[in-house]
Amino acid sequence: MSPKQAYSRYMRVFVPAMTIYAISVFTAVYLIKNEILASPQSYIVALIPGLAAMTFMWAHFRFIRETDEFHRKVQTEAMMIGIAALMAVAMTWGMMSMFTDFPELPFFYAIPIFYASYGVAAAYLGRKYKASCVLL
Amino acid sequence: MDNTLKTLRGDKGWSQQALGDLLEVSRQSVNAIETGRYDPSLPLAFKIARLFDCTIEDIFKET
Repeated sequence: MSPKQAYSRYMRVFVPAMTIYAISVFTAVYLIKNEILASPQSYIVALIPGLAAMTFMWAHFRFIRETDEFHRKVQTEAMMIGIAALMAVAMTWGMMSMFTDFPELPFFYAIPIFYASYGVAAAYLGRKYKASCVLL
Repeated sequence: MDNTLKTLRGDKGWSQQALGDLLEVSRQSVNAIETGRYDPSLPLAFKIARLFDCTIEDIFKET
């Protein structure tokens, strides 16, 4: 499979899954915060963004396996930068909130932090290596 | 690593896209190998060598 085909296959899953994720996050926060839902329903609504996130992460994993080795290298480097950024934020924020009156950051923010860092890294590395099909 | 891929491809009159199709990689991958931004894996290096009917050492040289 060519990288272009792999990328199209990835986008066909990623775009709907990310849309469901974004909509369900805001919906879940609104419904649960305003106590619109009963407790058992809150659990179900809170699980939907997680399922959507698992879907687009699976699509991402599949894309990395299906693309060619050069694009795989670029993707892997971008993901490593994304993971490093997430770890750095988690470590720093965790220490700050443990030892100072800094507010705690919910685990929920791990995905946006990772994907934002990964996206910036992928754009930078895509330009550096002149590779296409590297962005989200 | 230096390589003679661009010359070999030129001799055959192939575009980067055509070579990429034969190797089942993208045009960008061919470009990255030719310009030395990316060193191919051993299986891909073997594939390139077989395609041009020569050895890996004939194409890739240590710098």
